[in-house]
Formats: sequence, structure tokens, C-alpha cells
Amino acid sequence: MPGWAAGFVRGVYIIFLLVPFVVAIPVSFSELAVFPPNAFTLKWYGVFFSSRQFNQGWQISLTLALIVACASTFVGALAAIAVMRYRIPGRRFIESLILSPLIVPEVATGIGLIFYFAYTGLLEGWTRLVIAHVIVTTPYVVRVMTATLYAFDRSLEEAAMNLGATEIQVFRTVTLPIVRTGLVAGFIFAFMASFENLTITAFVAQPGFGTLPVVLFGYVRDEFNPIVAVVTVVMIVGTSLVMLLADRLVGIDRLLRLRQAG
Amino acid sequence: MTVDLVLSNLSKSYGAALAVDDVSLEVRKGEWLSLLGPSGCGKTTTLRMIAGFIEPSMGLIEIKGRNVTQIPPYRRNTGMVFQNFALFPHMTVDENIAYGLRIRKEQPAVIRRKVEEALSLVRLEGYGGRYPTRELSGGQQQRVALARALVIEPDILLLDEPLSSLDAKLREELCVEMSELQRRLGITTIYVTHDQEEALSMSTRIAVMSQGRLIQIGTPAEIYERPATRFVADFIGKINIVKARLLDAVTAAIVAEGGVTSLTLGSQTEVSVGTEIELGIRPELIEIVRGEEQGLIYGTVRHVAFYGGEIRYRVAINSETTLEVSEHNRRQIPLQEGDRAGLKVDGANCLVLK
Repeated sequence: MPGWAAGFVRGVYIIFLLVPFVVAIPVSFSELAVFPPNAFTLKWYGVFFSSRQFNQGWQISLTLALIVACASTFVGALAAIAVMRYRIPGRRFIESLILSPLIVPEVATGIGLIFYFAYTGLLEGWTRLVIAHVIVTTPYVVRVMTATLYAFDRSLEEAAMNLGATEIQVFRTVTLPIVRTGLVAGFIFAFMASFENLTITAFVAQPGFGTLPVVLFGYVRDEFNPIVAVVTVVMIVGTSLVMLLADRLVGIDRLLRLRQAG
Repeated sequence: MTVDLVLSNLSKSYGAALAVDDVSLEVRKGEWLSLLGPSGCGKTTTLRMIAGFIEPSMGLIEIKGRNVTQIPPYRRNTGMVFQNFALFPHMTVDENIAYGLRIRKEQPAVIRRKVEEALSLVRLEGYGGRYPTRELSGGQQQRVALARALVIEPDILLLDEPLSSLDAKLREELCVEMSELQRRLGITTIYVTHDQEEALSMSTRIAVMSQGRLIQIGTPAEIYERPATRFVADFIGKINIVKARLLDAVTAAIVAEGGVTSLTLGSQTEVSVGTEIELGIRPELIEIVRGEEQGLIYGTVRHVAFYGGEIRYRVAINSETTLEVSEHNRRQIPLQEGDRAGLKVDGANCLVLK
């Protein structure tokens, strides 16, 4: 491809990615839900932050995403270690099973879970929501961690041990620092997947547990005004903060490389 | 002479397969012992048992008189250089070298001095702040790995094919460098390799292994000149294997183009007269004679390869045997393909192969 054509494709691609931002951000300051915005006002931000429903929504979403990200990073990392480092019978099967929520439509998972919860009467409130989310976010952690562990050279651990480090010291000084990138990446993917999840939440959340996407979805059925754009901006800012944090911790380029590897 | 390492009746089995089969040997202080053999001969398994990464199925390992068979790797005080160097990618050269000292809780000032010394030992002064896996060449990485293993002042240095990932020229340089360093420090060294040239040129002694067994142990010259078995003769250096018939206890007859040539062997053989034996003859011990002479083996030159310092010929002496002959290039008139060649072989230089 000639240089100008490559540049053109790249330009179109970037515009395509940026359109939602270009639209959402100005509209969130608009009086009416029109583009270009017909005024500059913070009115809808005021409405958003004084709405009990939305406030509760983002607080639940944030809390849930943090708990879910921690839990699925822990579970997913252990599962990846089990699958990659030990000769467990049926390990390929176990791995596929853990990864299956990536392939099974979320609607199917959602319906399955709702039947399961209704039939067994198990798990209420937060627990139910967390478990449901962990099921769909763990595969991201497992993918990233299996890739990380696959690339991990075990002779590094032997070298450390040869130099006098006990198993615990080896884990702390060699294993953990090297797989840290993978752990952080897994955490972020899990966080994002939980934070923006609508389908599963819509099926399993009990009254009073409306996450931000669920609240928003319910809202746009009845009304359409710039508050939708406000929510979008809030979500963009939220996820950007997480990415920024990740960049501080390990560097964004390394995360992206891992995502490709995964 | 103090013995630094003793392996007695060391075995390792995986299910029914024996990876290492009853290996016993002693390594004296300051020796460079090479474990040499083809891949899968058990040399690496043996080294990893010495380091403590593999638990022996049977037998004992003693380092400096201490039975370490049941001791974990981190309390054996061996220094190992891995095949892929295994440098910590998240640490600088300095941090890599300091790792063992930090774990040993040495004083920061002591660590700094020892790291500096180690760096100058491997001629990498000024490289301390770099990240080895990203910013150093293969040869430099190898030296960092060596420095890291030496800085902890190990009882034994263990080298697991540390040159195999490097190109030939660099390998030769580092060979010389490593063995000089080893002699200077006088550190007992176990070197695993499948490269017989490396083993011959660097070792005090060589232990040749095959299929988990220790076949022969001896100085490079002993191994090369008096190989215990046909396998050793064939594996170490180049050798021609020729069928011959035993006429009496010290005379063997070879059938060649020009007729039968009888050779007087260097020592009496134990096999009975009249049996067919195999003789091993090194290419450099066969002399090409220009002109007629008594007792030569005649053949036809099939291939000539010019190597600069030497010329290698392949000479067919009968329908099933082709000898490799190497001749120093002293500007004699080279033979051509198809020429008839007279070969002079001293029976005393022939090995009767078992």
C-alpha cells in the first residue's frame, strides 16, 4: 500500500474510534440531546449527581467492579498456575471450561444463572452479583495469565534458588515482579468487563442493585436527554482513570503487548 | 589432593526409563570436569542433581565432604550458569550479580565492592546499570551469568552448555576466556556439553556418558588416544573404522585395493586369532606417501576438501571402506580426485575397538 493510502486508512480508523467521544463530550454540556450542542450548560451534570438512582448506580458499579476485579484476578491467576504448571488430568478441559464464558453468548449465561439462582434459592444481593460477574470476567484474567506464564522462563526461578533464595524469596523477588504486568493487565480487563457489563447484570441483579449501565438502560427507554451523554463521559473518565493507574504501575505498552499475546 | 565432589552410585529413573544409571565419580579441587555425551545421555540430569533441582532415585552426592543429597538447592552453595543464562529481566546487571549476595544479607558496601570485582573479572566494567536481556549481546549476557555465579564464591561452578546458544567464533573466544578464568580462580567446575572439541580443549578430565551410563573418565588425551569403547572412539574426534582380521596376537591384516597389508599392533589383543576385528585409526595418524614404499595401504581418492591449514581426503581402500585422511598443508602437491594414494599406517597407532 502506498504511504498516503496507509495514512488515509489510519486517519479513518482513528476518527472512527474517536467519534463517540467527539459526540458524547459536547452533547453532555448541551441543553437538548442534539449534535452539535445547542448551548453550554452543566445542568445535566447537576441532574446526574443529584439523582439518587444514578448516584447509587455508579457507586454500585465501581464497588462491584473493584471487588470483581480483585476476586477474578486471584481466582484466575491460581487457575492459570494450576493449568500451566501442574499435570492435572483433564487440564485442557478445565481450561476450556473456564474460558467458555468468552464464547457462550452472555444472554445464555445470564439466563442460565437466573434459573440456577431461582431454582436453588442460593446467593442473594451482592454475593450473587459478584459471583455472576466473576464468572464472566475470570476468563480475561486466565487468558492473560496463561500467556504470561507460558512466556515465563522457569530457569529464572532455578537460578534464584541456586543463588540461595528459598521458595518464598524466589516468589517474592523473581516470580511476582515478572508476572506483575500480567496480573495488573488481568485486573484491568476484569475491572472494565465488570464495569461496563449490562447483559449479565440485567438478568441477575435484584432490585436495589442497579449498576450504572442497567440504570442507564432503564432510563433511556423512558427519556432521551443529554444525561445519557453525561453517563458516557462518567464511564469514559472512570475507565481512563483505571488505565492511567495501570500505566503508572506497569506501562500501557506492556499491557497492550500482553493483550495481543493473550 | 582434596576431593570437592563425589557422586556415588547416582541414579535417576522416570518410571521404567533410567535417565542416569549408576554413575560414580570424584572431582578433585580445581579440576574442570566435562560431562560429555550426545543429547539424552543423562549429562544434564546429572548436573541438575548436583545443583539440587532433581532428586536422585538412588545414590549419594557429596560436596566438600558434606552429604547434600537431601539438601535443597538454595543451601548447596553451587554456582550455576544456565544454558539460556536465566538472567533476571527485571534487574540491571548490577542487581543480577548482587542477587546472591543480597539473599545472603551481606553489607551494602561489601556487595558493592564484590559486584565491582566480579564485573571486572568478566571485563564488563561500566555495564552495571544496563538491563541484560534487552541491552546486552549474547556473549555479554553469558559473562554476566558467569559473574553472578562466581560472586557468591560457590564450592562448585556448574556450567550447563553455557555456550551453545552463541555463534562459533564467539564460542571459541569465550571458551578460552572461561578456562583461563577458571584456572586463575582455581574453582572446581563441572561443565556439561555435547561438543567434544570444547570438552577436549577446556577440561582437566572428561567423563563420557551414553544412555545414562558413565562410559569412560580420563584426561582429554587419554580419552582421545585410548578410548575405552567404540562409542567413545567414534564420539570423540574423527575416527576411521576399518575391518581387519587377526593373524596372530599382535598382527592384523587389512584388505585393500592393492592386496593385503598386515599391521603390527601396539599391544596384544585378547580376542582369538582368526577373528574379524575393528580397528580405529585417527585421520591425522594416516600419512600419505608420494611414491612407492613397502607396507602401504592403497586406495583411490574420492573427495578432496581444502581447509587452508589442512587438506582432508576421502580415500576408498575397498568396496565398503573409505578412510578420512587429513594432511597438514606444507605446500606439497595435492592429490586429485581419482588419484591412487598410498597410505602409511603405524599399527601401534591403531585402536582395537570393542
